[in-house]
Amino acid sequence: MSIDVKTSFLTYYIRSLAERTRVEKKGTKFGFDWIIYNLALAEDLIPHRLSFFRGGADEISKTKTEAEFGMDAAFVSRDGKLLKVFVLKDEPLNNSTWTKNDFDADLRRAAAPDLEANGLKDISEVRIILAYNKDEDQTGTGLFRRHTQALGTKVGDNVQLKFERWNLTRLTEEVKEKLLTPSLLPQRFFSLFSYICSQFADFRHGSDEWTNQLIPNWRRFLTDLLSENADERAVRLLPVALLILREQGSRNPTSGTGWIDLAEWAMLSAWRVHQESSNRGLGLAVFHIWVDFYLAELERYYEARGNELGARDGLDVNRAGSYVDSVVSAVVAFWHIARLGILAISFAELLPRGDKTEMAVREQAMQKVADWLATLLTANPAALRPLLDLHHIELFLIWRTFWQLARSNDIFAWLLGLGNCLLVRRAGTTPLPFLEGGNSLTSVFEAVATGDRPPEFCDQSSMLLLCILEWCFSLPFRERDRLVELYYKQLVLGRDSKGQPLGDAQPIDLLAWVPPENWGKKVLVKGLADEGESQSFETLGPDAVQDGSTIARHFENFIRKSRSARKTSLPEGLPISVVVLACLKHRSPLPAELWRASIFGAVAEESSP
Amino acid sequence: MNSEISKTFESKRRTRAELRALPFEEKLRILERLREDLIIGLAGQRKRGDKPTRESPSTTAPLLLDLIKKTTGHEPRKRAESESALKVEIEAALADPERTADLVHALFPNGVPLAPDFFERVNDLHLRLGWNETSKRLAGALLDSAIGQLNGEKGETLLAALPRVGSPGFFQTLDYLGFLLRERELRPQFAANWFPSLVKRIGNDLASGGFWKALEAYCEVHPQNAVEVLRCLAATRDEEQISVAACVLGTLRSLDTDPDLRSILAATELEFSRAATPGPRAVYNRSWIHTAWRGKMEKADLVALTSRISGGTPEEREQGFGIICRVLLSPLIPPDCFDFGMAWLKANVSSSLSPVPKYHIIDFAAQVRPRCRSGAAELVLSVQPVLPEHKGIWQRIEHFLVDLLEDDLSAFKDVLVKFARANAASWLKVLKTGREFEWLLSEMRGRDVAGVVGQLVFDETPQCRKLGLFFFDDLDLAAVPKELLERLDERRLALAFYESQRTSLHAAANARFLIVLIPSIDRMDSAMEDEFYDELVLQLKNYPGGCRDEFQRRLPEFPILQKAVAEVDAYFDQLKTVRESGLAAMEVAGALQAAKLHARRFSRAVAKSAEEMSVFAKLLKKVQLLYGQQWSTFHDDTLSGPSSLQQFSSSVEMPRMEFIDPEGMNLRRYHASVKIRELCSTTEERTK
Repeated sequence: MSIDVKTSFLTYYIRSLAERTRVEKKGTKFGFDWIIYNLALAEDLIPHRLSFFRGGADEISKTKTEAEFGMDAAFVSRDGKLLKVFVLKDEPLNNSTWTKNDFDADLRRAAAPDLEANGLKDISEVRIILAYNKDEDQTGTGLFRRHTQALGTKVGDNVQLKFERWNLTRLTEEVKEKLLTPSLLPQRFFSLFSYICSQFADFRHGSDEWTNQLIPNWRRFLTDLLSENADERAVRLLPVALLILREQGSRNPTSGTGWIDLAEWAMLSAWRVHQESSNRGLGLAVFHIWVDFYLAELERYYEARGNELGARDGLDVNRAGSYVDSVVSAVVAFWHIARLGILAISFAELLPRGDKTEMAVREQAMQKVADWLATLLTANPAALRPLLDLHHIELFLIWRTFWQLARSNDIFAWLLGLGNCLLVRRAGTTPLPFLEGGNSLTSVFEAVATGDRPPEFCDQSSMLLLCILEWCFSLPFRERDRLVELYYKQLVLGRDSKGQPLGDAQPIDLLAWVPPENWGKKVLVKGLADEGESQSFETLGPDAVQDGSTIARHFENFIRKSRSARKTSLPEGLPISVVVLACLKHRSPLPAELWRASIFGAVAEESSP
Repeated sequence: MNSEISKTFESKRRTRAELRALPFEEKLRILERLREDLIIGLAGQRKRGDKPTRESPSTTAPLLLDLIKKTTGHEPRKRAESESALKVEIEAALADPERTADLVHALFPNGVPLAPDFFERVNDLHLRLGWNETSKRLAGALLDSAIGQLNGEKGETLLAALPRVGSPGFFQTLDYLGFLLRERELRPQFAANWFPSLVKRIGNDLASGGFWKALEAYCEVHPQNAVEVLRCLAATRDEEQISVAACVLGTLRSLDTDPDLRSILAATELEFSRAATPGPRAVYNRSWIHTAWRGKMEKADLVALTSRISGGTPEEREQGFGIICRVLLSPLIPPDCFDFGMAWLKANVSSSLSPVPKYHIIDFAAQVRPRCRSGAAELVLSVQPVLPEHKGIWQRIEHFLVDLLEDDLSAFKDVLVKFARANAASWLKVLKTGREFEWLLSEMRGRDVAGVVGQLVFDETPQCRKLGLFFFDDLDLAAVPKELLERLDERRLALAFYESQRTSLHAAANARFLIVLIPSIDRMDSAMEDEFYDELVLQLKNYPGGCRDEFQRRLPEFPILQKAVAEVDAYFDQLKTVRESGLAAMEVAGALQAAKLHARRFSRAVAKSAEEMSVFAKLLKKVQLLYGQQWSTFHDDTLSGPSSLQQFSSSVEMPRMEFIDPEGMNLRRYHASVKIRELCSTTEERTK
């Protein structure tokens, strides 16, 4: 995490906070009084006066209704000699707010503390800190200087009086230095978030504990945070929470990828809030976090590891000394493929292309990611080992990454290599099973570990193979026909290059998936595998299976009919990269329109017979 | 005195109580037995009244009686203290049938049971007496005496119980059966059933020598009766009856009996040889084995027999090979007879024979005298292929090859190549089965067989090449003769190279084989050179332990190895960097459980396979220990001292690329097969 990103998102968060935390009809408004309180605790100061009643772990502190006489919070040092008084303002410091928002009055009142009160007998210095989570102008600072000078340097005869001014930058620096802990979050999240932080520090990314404990906790936290009436402040809290997590889990060797995993869940939650809200500021905040936080961090992650992606067998995992490792390596490789793909399509759709310079920058960024992906595919055999039918999402991302740069040769080479690798598994000459249609990694593990496929293992139907066949249409005819012939005759029908059956292989039923009508609303929330419509492509008869172009014609026909019969519209306001990420995380199949529109163009109305 | 009386009363009270508890039928049986004992006892007393008074056994055979007492009391067996004194006592008992009878009474105070118990008790006594000829004779005499004491029908009932005796008691009894059969004639009808029942009980067990000797002795001592037995078996059909009848006929044929009996025998023999059913004809054919082994077969007999077999039914022809082989294995066969038989076999054996005659042929080849081995080798090669599942035949082939290796290395090499070309695929399959051909392989180690193995490795046929690579690996060979390599053309080198790619070799063997090829690489084209270099790199990645060690040893000799090692070092350095970057550090839910499941399955398979392969595990009972670090056993009333648990292990380097790139490794093997096919088709086209 770069210092700039850290500072900038902390600043955004602190800036978005109110002066005090309070529950309103529209929802809870988070205040930076809680941050001040925790900063003081971090400095080992003892609270003397707080503006709220401290509550339990999951509660929201209740604001005190008594007059505070300018003293929002006061703390005493351990030796009892220093009294720090905070005057809090969630306004900028300038001429118009100086009097209107009681800067002057509150400072004056705060400069006259009652030092006769209990616990203040030994005070030798009073430090008044004006803390405001906004910016200021020169007039504002001048007013402050003059006003504090006028207030003198002593309280009574012996007690020194000093003034400090903490603006947004100073507050951010203080937080960055002393408070990147769960305490930074509003009190009600402290308990759960502390627990999440400790789990993030302990559990290895992807492990059983990670999947079964941390992820549900994290998702619960996100739901709590972004529940009804979530505002920009809540959304701005997401990157802060992630920053804290990063800080807390730095010793975990898997924190790099693990952090991205958590960030993705957070991003989906944020996009869901955006989808449900009409608040423009909130929308901008989500977009800002997506681009400048998540995507920027993703890019930074791979920028730092670009060379390693091209290391031969670098993504191989060698833990069990068996084919279980081959499965794990494939999962790891596909994880990285997905992230690189998301980055690539995000660049394509989000980077500006206003002028030639911008176009060049965009093209360069896309090429860079495509190169990373190409080296990953070349260097890692596991990257050509899809295990589940749902791995068509990652394969789509590879296709899309190359396609958007018109790298047809890369697509052809990749699909050819992938076809050969799949053929080995289809022929049953390795202990690795063919694609699991039920999308259960547990079934794949069981098949590999025991040598017997569990009864629920399904390799009779495949959407993935149909996806590949459709992507072949993005290639020149010669290459298309060659691949279509290879995939259909050998992989779908289960025959060798001479047309002889591969062992006892039976033809695979090809399936297309059409999402439900309102899928755009649901895709960010849940998996849609059990919704929508499956379209089965009947196995072609011997006459139709002559050469690639004959087979391709049948597919083209099917695609045309399928598109005109069931139209799929992409959700508005959501980048494609977010849609794909949602499908990845929620294990939803991809709507075919994501590539059909690119390959075949807009849907043409079927002429009446 | 009082205490003695009270003990007696107590004993009687206990006996009465036990008797009361018995079922009614058992009580009747005891009554019967007591009545018989009374009659025999009275008869004995009468006899003793006629003769001079004899000393009681307690004074003449104290040791023997003591052992009998221990036998009846089921006391633990211990070695007899004074063996010489015991032997004197036994000899004395054998010399006097009445003393033997007394011993029978002592051993069976409640009468001779007409059940397997009888044999078990005699066998128990036999073991206490010690394992020697004298004690065996006594056991036989006790059986004979018991049969004598019983009336005819009961005696047969007792003998009929013999097949029901468990192992090893049954086979122990067969060892002293000869004593009975020499002494006592059996009712022919009974004998004709009883002998086959014993053969059936023997089954495939090899410990049948005692029985056949006893049967031959019976024929020798009671030829008349034996002819009767034979006649009873005239309509024989089942295997056991055929075996018994063949032995009786073959033995009787070899005896110098009186003319009357001879003429009866001749008529019976004719009846068997001309029978319409195959059973009696098989008796006649097989009887010649016994005649030959008794040294009474001549060339004319063999000529007649072979011609009879040749003209027989297909089944008789198949069986005939076994008969001729066993005839020829007789140490008493005349040389002209042997030569004729050998020639007949060579002319008649073929690969189309069924497994049983093949077994007989190879078994014969494995047993012939060294001077006849070349002819035997011809026979072995002629009956190929032998299928891998016929393990018995393969064991005999191994025996044959080991003997040949011992006698004549040059002939062995010649036969090895011929044999490989005749049946390499099956042989390789057998060799890859655990523990098969271990004897031959251990004999081949350290012998000068590199040349012949090299010949196989660079052979034209894929199966021979695979076999050659197997030997290269298993025999830890590191080189093949230079002159052989120089003779090879580029194609043969390429064939062997691609064959090694699609064959699974151990790490070190793989490396050694590639090193063998290095000097010849210059003769290959540049594409092939590149492929060879890639293979060096791949195997270094595949086996960073064994392969690298071998390469490291030869590094100074070959720059190509230096280059490959440097490249792979860089590869592993880069991998280390990636590991440290955490790029692949993530885990996958369920993987740990799958790894455990796989490890459990693997460990079960290893344990099962180790048990199947272990000679000890087959002999000993396996006890799964639950606690402790030491173990002891309680056996035969004795608790052994504690023994420590021993740990032993074996390790093998797994090919890491098989897990990193299973598809790629498969495709590489496929590519090798395609290349081999191309290389072979080029030759075929050239030949055309």
